[in-house]
Formats: sequence, structure tokens, C-alpha cells
Amino acid sequence: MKQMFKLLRFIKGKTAAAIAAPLCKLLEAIAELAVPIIVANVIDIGIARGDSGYVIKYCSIIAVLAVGGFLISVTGQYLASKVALYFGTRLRAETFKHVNSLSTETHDRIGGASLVTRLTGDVVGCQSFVNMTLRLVLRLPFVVIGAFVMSMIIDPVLALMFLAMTVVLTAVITCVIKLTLPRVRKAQKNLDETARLSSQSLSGARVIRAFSKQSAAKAEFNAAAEETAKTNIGAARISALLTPLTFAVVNLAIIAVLWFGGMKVESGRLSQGNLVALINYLTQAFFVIVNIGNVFSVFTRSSACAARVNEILDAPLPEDGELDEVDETAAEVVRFEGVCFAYDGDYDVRGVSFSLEKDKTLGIIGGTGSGKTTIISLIERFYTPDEGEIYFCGKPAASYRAAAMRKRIGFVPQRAAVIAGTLDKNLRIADESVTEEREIKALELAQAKELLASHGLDGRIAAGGKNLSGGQRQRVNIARALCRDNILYLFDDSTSALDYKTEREFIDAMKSVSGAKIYVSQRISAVSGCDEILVLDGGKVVGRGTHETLKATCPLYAEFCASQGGK
Amino acid sequence: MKNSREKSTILRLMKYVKPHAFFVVAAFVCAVIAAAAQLFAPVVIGEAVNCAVGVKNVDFKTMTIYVIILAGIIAAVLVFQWLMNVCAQRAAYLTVRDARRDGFSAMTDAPLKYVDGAAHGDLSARISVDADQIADGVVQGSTQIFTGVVTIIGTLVLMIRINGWIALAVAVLTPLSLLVSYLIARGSHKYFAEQTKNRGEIFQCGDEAIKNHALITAYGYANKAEEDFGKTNAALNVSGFKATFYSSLVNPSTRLINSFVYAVAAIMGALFAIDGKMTIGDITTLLLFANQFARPLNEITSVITEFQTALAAAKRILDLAEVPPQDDNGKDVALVGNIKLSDMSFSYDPEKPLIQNLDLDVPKGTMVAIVGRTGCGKTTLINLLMRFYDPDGGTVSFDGEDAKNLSRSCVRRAFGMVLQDSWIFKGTVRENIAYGKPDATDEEVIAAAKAADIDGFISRLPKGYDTVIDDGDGISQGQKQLINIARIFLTDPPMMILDEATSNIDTRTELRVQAAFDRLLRPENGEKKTGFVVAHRLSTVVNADVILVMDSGKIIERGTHSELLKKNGAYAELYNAQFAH
Repeated sequence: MKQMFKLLRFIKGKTAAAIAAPLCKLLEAIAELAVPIIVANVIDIGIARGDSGYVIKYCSIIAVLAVGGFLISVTGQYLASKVALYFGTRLRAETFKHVNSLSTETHDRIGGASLVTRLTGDVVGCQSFVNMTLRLVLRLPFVVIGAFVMSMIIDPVLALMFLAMTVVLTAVITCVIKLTLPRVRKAQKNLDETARLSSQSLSGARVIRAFSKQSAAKAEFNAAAEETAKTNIGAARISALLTPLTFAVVNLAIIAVLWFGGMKVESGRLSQGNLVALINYLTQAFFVIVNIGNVFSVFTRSSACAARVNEILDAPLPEDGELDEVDETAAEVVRFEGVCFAYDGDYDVRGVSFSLEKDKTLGIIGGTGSGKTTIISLIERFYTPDEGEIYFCGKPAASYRAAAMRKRIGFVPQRAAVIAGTLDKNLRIADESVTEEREIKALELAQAKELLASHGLDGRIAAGGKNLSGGQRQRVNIARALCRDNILYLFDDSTSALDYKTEREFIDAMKSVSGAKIYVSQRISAVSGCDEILVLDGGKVVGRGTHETLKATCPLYAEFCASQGGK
Repeated sequence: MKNSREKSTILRLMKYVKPHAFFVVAAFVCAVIAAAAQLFAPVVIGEAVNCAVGVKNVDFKTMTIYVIILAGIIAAVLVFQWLMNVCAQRAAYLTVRDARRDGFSAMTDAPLKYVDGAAHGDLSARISVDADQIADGVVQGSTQIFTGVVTIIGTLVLMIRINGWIALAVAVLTPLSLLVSYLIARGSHKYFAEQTKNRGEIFQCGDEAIKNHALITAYGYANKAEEDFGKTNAALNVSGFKATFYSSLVNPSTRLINSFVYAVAAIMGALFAIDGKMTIGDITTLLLFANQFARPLNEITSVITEFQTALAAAKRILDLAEVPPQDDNGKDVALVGNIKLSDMSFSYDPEKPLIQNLDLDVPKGTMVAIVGRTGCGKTTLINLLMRFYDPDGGTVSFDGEDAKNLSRSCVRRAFGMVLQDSWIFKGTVRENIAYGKPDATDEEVIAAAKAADIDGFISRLPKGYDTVIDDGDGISQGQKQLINIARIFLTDPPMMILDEATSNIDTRTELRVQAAFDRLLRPENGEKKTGFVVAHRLSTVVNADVILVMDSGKIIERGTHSELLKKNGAYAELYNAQFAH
């Protein structure tokens, strides 16, 4: 619950409405609570005296109260909806902002799918908490306390019966829910297991059939299905107690009121109408208390949502430097000095040292998991090295403001990133004010002329670039980096989906672009022309030199050459 | 139209409910008893109130009787309502279990055509989430509706017994709340649709930004992304407010109508009482009933909507459960590995013929490589060999026997298959390797792992062969492929298939996979196996006995590597495109 309260700061700005909404609910509750006492008067005065005018007058008051209660309630709903949506919208915008500025480490740790759920579903969960609290949850204590107060007015001693009922009822409901909850969670886990088994069997459809293991798969699933049914039935046995128990508690309270109330009527300390009113208050409170289960589930669900959203909002922002100016004339663009980095536990990059001079090219080759992309990510400052130092244009990379430094780097990611919109919109990400000529020139350099011809700069690009081929997506990414002048270009396996001929033409074309370049690849063809090549294995540099020297001196490099056609 | 579809779903569902009919009937019986007992409570309370008329005018003797009756009612409700719930839920979850099992079983036995054509997430959802809806919506819903109807009828009857006119007024006025909630639901529908649309856009927008986090960070695009997000967020604010506010009108409106009914009942009751036609106890009872009458009525509407959604979900799982299984008839013989395709044709879509009039003779021990562009029919050919699909025309025969006369499992068992998407299930490494031979000894499993060159990796795992592995975490694509190959070493079938198995792994690991596969095909001390290699990278096919170059479902060239290079045709072109640099 603490988690939810922390988020309530987003209500600020609508505080008045947030207070007024429950007040409306309070007024409505009072209107509702007046009814039994009016009925009591009708019985004790109207009927007793046979005064039909009195009866009609007072019953009309009930109708008027109902209309008044309705109007107040609608106002309350209006205010509650306003506050809840205001809260939700602000929370969502703030969460989105935080998601964008998260460090890559936090981003990786939480995971993309989970971030999306938090931004969408969990924010809505928090929003409905606010809505439900203002509308329903606060109504509960109002009605219960109100009914209690009214009972006190009628008869303080019998009101104790009411108090006892409320306490017992709340205890019973809480107990049943507390006992059911772990079982329901277990059932949910079992359900997830059936889903997991189904999708496992679907992804293995061919292998299962190839080994004729259908019956084994079914047996495993049947056991899981049986377990799910058992857990659910077990949970039902307890949760099924809820309604009958509440019924029992309320009616026992009514019996007590009837009995002791009867005694008071006998001795003249209570009227018959008031006895009826007491019973009415009991049932009124009862109908509200039964909903405590809903309140409970709203609370548990929303506090889980709030915790997940808070994790994003509270995540520390990545450390940043202060330097804004990058020395473009520095002879050395990048230098790694004994850099080590581990995502978790095992080092992914260990003791890597190299330097790259102005306008020179560096190739990095290695198998999957050899640490190539990690090096690129370290240069982009997505991660901070655990040991060693990285220099950019002569100064420690950490001393720059990350955004200022990144602005001078043309980054082409391994997984080609394309956003929905137009080709132009995608290129403009690099530079808002880029000219059309420059865009066309960049596309030409990226060997994407045919894409320009077929799509045009204003051609639609679907979400995730689904209407483009893998090679086209890569070329859009390359062109984007070329839409502005950079001191350094990072090509992280950016040509893997291109055929060898196009790859060659692209690398040749890049020679006309000034700036240092790093080409990362698994393909010899992409790095063979570089001024220097680093060969990585298990995060370590195992070879360094030109294509010709490495072929002779680095066995791993030679192996790569051999497996890729020998030349 | 819609009605008849729902009816037929209910009928189909009955098949699954039937075995648990005892619990359903028991639930209904308990429901009637519990509802009746609950209904009598207000009557008894009213009678008890009648015993306490005024000073020195309280009939404790009669009141005691009513109190005892009320206690009895409490006991009856306690027992029968609990029993009703337990029976209904039991029937519900057993029904779900059976439908789920049948769904899974049908999915497992369905022709691959069905599995390939369906979205996997959708099929899993049917088996897990949709099946659960049967319990929530259909079975429990029907007991709730049943209880509701019993309560409404019972309340009405009892009210009529007390006073026909008041009963009539309550019965006529209360359903107004249904009308109001229906009108509100209809009116707010468009706002909900708008809200759903905007939520979808928000999802899309957030998803895009999160997926492209690196891009946004590297290019400082966050401000622009937030601007775009803000626009959608503002639209969602508007539609969300409308949807929330309008739908929140239902509760106050029904309460208004219920209070109104209450007032009418009170006036009428009081006036009748003044005329001496009713007692105070009767009024108490009637007012309790008037309150109670509205509840099941309001509940039933929401239960009915839920019931309909649940039926739609039930239809989805039942549709899956009724997918006819692929036949597995025919002889079951041990195959040695001679394959012949004659005049074979096949297409996934009758409009687009794929494989046409294909002839191919593969004697035992031959290694065939199949190359060609994406979509040329390479993998389709493998699907036909494994009898995952059946040819539209012509025949596939094994050892001279038409495959149609052989059982599918007999053909499939004779193949060892390694696919592009290697499959690891959640289980220990040992279980994964021994998949095709569960009774294999530890020595056999280790020998297979050694042969597949994966033993070293496994022994470095925290629990060695007993480490639980899952698709995805901590184990690379190449290692998965090697575990898949180890599986085949253990079953040692006479024919092998390697379908693009190395296209997702780096070239060094590829060499290891390739070498392991070669050991499978050409065991050091044993007969050569018949093998098919489908490859994207041509370095893997140069040693094949025969290379088939496919294009649009036809074999356009066949021969050995050197023959085809000499020919300087399609193969030479493909080869040079990859290696000329």
C-alpha cells in the first residue's frame, strides 16, 4: 500500500476535486442513511396515528432524498473520473519520460516486455485504484460508520450488536480471503504451467512428431491439467464459505437485535419502528461490507502495479559528465585502456586496449558472445566499464555530458531500429534540420537507392519496419547515421543482411566520408579492408593487425577465413 | 444466427459437462434449498417484529419460535450454499480439465498443416486462458443465473402472498434499472471503443520507444518521442474520462431507481397498514424484499454478458479440441534408407503450385544437399519426406514401399532431424538428450553427448547432466543444436535431415555442428546413412554426393560440387556471390 501512496503526488493539481469527490459520496451516504429513520417515523407516527398525509409526506421525502443523492453521486463520479484520469495521464507521461532516460543496465534488467506492461497495464491499474478509492472504497467506511452512528442515536446498547457484527464480519471476510489467496496464486501458477507446456509443444511440434512422442507430451500435460483442477477445487472449498458465512453473521446479529430489542420494546425503551430501523441499518451496512473482498483485491492488485511503476520512477538515472565541447581536432578519437565489463558475474569484455585515430578504420571480428557489441555499447556509454578507462577525443569519456558526446557519433545498432512513420521521419532522428539533398546523399551512400526509388522519402514505414526487408532496415539505419557529420561511426554488424557485393560497395563508398569508423562483424569480408582489425574471443583481444598479418599470425582469424571461403 | 451459434456451443459443451452431471444436479438442488431458505429469512424476521408491538405487548414465546426458525435457516443456508458452491466449482474445474486435455491432445495429434497455419500464442491461450473461462463464466454463471431466477420468482411469490398490489408495483418498477443500465452501456460503448483504440496506440508508442531504447539514447530523440507520446496520452485522457464517467453512472442510476421503488413500497405498505390490511411485520418483510429483489436482477445482467464472453471462449477451446487428428495407419516396418520420389507435386495453396512433377532417387547411404533461394521449396521437400505433409500427386516411397502404406510414426522414426529452430524443452540435459530413448543408460547419454561434441559444455554446467535447461536462457543456439544432434546419436536412425540448422549460429560453432553431423552421417565404424542437408551457406554442401539446386519447386540443376561449378549455371552463380570477395 505504501507503494500506492508514493504515487499519490501525481494527484497534485486536482487536490480540491480529489477531496470533493469523497465528500459527495459522504453526502450520498447520509441521504441513504436517513431512509430507515424516516421509515421508523412512518411506522411509529404515521401508521400508529393512521395519518395517511404524514405517510405520503415522509415517503416523498425518501424519493426526494433519492433524487438528491443521485445528483450528488453523479457529481462525485464526475470528479472521481476527472481526478483518476488526470492522475493516470500524468503518471503515464512521467513513467514514459523515465523509461527513456533509464540506464541501459536498468532497461536490460527489467526487460522490454515488462517495461511495456508497466507503462500500459500497470499505470491503468494505478489509475483504477484512484478511481475505485474515490468512488467505492471510501463509500464503505462512510456507510458503515454512518449506519453505526444512526444505530447509536436510536439505541446505544443495541448499536454494540452492530459493532460486534461489523468486527466479526470483517474478520471472517479477511480470513477467508487470506486463506484463499495463496491457493489462488498457486492455481495461477498452474495455469501458467499449462500455457508453458502448450507453447513448448507448439514450438517443438516437429520434433515431438519426429520422435513420435505425442503420448508422452499428453501425459505430462494431463498431469498439469489435473493439478490445476485440484488446486482450483481446493481454493473453491474455502472461498465458497464466504457468502454463507456472511449471511450467517448478519442474521445472527439480527436475531440478537430482535431478542434484546424485543425486551426493550416490552419495557418501553424502544419503539417498534425503531426496531425495524435497526434491522434496516444492519442490512444496509451488510450490503456494503460484503464488498470488502473487492476492496481487498483492488488494493492488492494496485499495490503490485504501483510497486512495478515505482521501480521505474525510482531507478537511478545514469551518471553524467559536464563537458559539452568535443575537440574535433584531437588526433585520437577513441582509446580503450584495459577495459573490463561484466553484465552479471562473468566478464564479457576483459582487459581490452586499443586506440583509433582520426579518419582511420577499425574492424572488430569474433564469434557470437565474443564481446563485440559490448565494446560498441561501451563507446556509446550505454554501460560504464567496471575497470579501465575509455577516452573520447583525448578526454575521459565519462567527463562528457553523454548526450553531447553521442551527438558526435553515428551509431548503427546491431538490431536495425526503425520507427513507424515515413522514411524521412526515420532519417530526421539524426538531425531535425537535415536537408532533402543530404538525406538522398545519405541513402545513396548506404546503397539504399532502390529503397528511395520504391518508397520515396515520404513512403510509409510500418511499425517495426515490417514492410521492409532486413537488408532495407539496415540500410535505413546506416543512412540515418550519415545524415549528420560525425567524428566517429559505429557499424555494429550493420551489413549482415546485405549480400557480399552490396556490402563491398557500401564499404567502398564510406571511404569518401570523413570520420573514424569501427566495423563490427562476423564476416571477414566486412573487416578485411580496415586499417586495423581486432580479433575477439571470449571478451579478450586475441589478435590485432591488418588482414594479411592476422591471416598469418592469428589462428582464430585464419579459422574464420577458412570457414568463409578461404580467400 | 448468433443465437443458434451459441446454442450449438452450449450443446457441444454439454458433452464435457455430462460426466460431471452429478455435481451439476447437486449444485442446482442445493441452490434451490439455499435460495428458498434465504427467502424465508425476511418473512421470519417480519413475523418476529410483529411479536414486539409495544410496551408490555411483546410475545416472547412466539418470538422464541421465530428465532429458532431463523437459526435453522442460517444453518441451512450455511450448509447448502457452501455445498452448492463446492459442487458447482468442482463440476466447473473438472469440465475445464477435460476440455483442456482434449484441446492439448488435438493440438498434439493435429496435422502440421494446422499447427503451421495457426498463431501459436493463440493456440496456447485457448488451452490455458480460454478454457478457464468455461469455469468462470459458463458453469458458475449458470448456477448464478439459476439461483438468481429462483430468488426472483421466490421473492415475487412471497411478496404476492403478503400484498399483491405492492408486489406488482415492485415487479414492474424494478426492471427499470435494467433498462437504464442497458441504455448507459449502449451510450458509453463508443467511448469504450475509442478508449481501447487509444490504449492500443499508447501501447504501440511505448513499445516502439522501449524497443528502440538504444536508438533514442544514442540520437537524443527522447524529447521528440515524448512529444508524440504526449499527444496520444492526451487523446487517451479524453476518451478514458468519457468511458469512465459514463459507465460510472450505472450504479447511482440503479440505486436511484431502487430507492424510488423502496419509497413506493413504503407508501403503499404504510397506507395498507393504516387501513389495517397489513401488519408492521409485513412492511418490514416487504421492504427487505424490495431491497433484495433488485440485487439478483442487477447481477443477472452482468452474469449474462459474462456468460456470453465465456461461451465465445469456450467455442475457441472446443473448436481446437475438435480438430481431427492426422491418421497414423499403415505398416510399421524398419526402414533401411532408400528413398524414391516419383512425379511428386505439392502446394500449400492450390492457387500457387509449389513442387511440380519432382523425380528423385536416393539410394541408401547417399548424401543429398539441397540449395536455392528462400521459398524455393527446400524445406517443403523435407516436410514431405518426414510425412509432415502429404503430396498432392505422385508418390514418395521408402525401400520400395509407397509411404502411404507406411505409418507416419514408422517413417518419422527412421529420420534423425536437426532444424533451424532447435528445440529444447524444460527438463534436465539428460532428459533432453534421452528424448527419443527415455530408457537410455547414463553411459549411453554421455557417449551421445561426446559424439556430438557437447559433453565438455555439459560438464561445466552447475549440475552437469542434471542441470535443468529451458528454451532460451543461458544456452546458446549452437549448444542447443548440438544437444539436438546428441539426441539423434542416441536413436541412431538410418536417415538424417539437417535443415538450415546452422544459419543462426556463427561460423566457428557452425563447423562444430557440421562436424558432429558428419559423424552422424558417416560413422567411423558403421554404414553410411542417407542424408539430406538444406543449407543457406554453401560451405556446408560442397562434400555432398549430389547437390540439388531448386528454384520455384523444381530441380533446375543436379550434380556434384565440381560438376556444377564446371557447368557455370545457377549453382556457380550462387557460389560466386558468396565467396567472391
